[in-house]
Amino acid sequence: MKPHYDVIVVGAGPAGSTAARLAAGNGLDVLLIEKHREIGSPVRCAEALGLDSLRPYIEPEERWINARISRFAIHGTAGHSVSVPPTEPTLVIERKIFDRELAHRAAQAGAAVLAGTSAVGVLRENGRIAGVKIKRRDRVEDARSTLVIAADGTESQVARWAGLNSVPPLADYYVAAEFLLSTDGGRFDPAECQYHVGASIAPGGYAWVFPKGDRTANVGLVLGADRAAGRSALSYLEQFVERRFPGAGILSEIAGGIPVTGALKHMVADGLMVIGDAAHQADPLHGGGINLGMIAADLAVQVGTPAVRRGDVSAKTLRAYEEAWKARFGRPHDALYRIRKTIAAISEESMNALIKTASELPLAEMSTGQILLAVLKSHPSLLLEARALITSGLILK
Amino acid sequence: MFKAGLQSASRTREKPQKTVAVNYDLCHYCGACVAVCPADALFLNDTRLEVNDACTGCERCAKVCPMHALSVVKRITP
Repeated sequence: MKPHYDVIVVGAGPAGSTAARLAAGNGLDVLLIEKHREIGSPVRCAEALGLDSLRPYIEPEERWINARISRFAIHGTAGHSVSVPPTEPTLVIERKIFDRELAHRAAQAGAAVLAGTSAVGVLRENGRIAGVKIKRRDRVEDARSTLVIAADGTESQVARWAGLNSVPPLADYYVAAEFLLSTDGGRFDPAECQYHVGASIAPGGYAWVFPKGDRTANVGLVLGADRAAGRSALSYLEQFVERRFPGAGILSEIAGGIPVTGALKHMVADGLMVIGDAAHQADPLHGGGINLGMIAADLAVQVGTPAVRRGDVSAKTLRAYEEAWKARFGRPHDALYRIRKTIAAISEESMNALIKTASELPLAEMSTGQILLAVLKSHPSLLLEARALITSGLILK
Repeated sequence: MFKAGLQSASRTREKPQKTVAVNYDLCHYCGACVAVCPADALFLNDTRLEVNDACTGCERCAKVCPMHALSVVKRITP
């Protein structure tokens, strides 16, 4: 430990490790801390991500790629499904290896990396954040820096300790449970990611089957935290798995939560930038956030590096990062948020009818707008509740 | 299991009469509860969830817990 760093990054997930690597690569003196004793574990993720948005930050490597996806299939609960190609090439990955590689690269770029080290408070100096109080093994000490980047995930407290309001409403919080399932060969299609929608499966959310090959898959679900009706995410998942994959082995049990509010209004304070799940940057429709966290790391370091060099890390200066995020994701994420709200309000019967109609359309030849119009023509009763879907869908494509 | 309640009991009388108890046999220390706690009453010490005096027993954490590992209990008073 040095007496002072240019940047301390809290949390060695994809966002934090990328921020640490980029900042160290810019010549800054960086400390990256991770509270868990093993970077990459425990996994809290369905492990699918788009390749195009990943490439600027890491070239794909076979050792962390489990499956290459060429289709997404969206299933209702009445036996119909819609199959669409992914909007970008998509991978199912091994987060334990992926995350460790990203942290390794941060270390190679010159960052000091410490696993088993928690942030337990923030340090203040003249009203600005000036570092973090850290706990390593049984010792608590002060770690000082010009800038703190909080990448401490869904349970982020650094932002809160700094005075930013980061507590999401339950209606915008996904609760998740997932099993890594093991079956005899052939139960999973290694080229297809499945989504299952319907209030009886996952109220306010969806279930997924993301293959890691033809014998193992991440099978999980998210619920709207306000819609669970007194049942746990685990109990919904057990029901889903018993019906669809009876007798499958459970290689891993995972729990978690994702804020799906859209990014926080304020993601900076004097001496502090917040990135990734800690800043609620996950996709407000499906909750995926690996790529988004890495992009945010990039945007934050682009603003943070000259700020640190000039010695001006005021919120006013750092706000350029917030603006860069908004310019890139503001409108599309607002649209995705409204789409999730609309879908969550549609009954299971209506959803099944929509999926049946869509399953009969030549989707590959149609634009999003055409698909929405064709579906709604067949279901005029949904016109009012789905109006937001049309306008939001048109914003996206 | 009721450590949080015991710790807080000696401190105050005006404190809300409820808190949460953690069933450590169920807890996955995933942090979903920490994310939604409006009182900053929960802290994840690596693999161990800790409840402090600020807990008001509002039940948000119990509602979001994917494992239903949290339950609102009466604060034990001296």
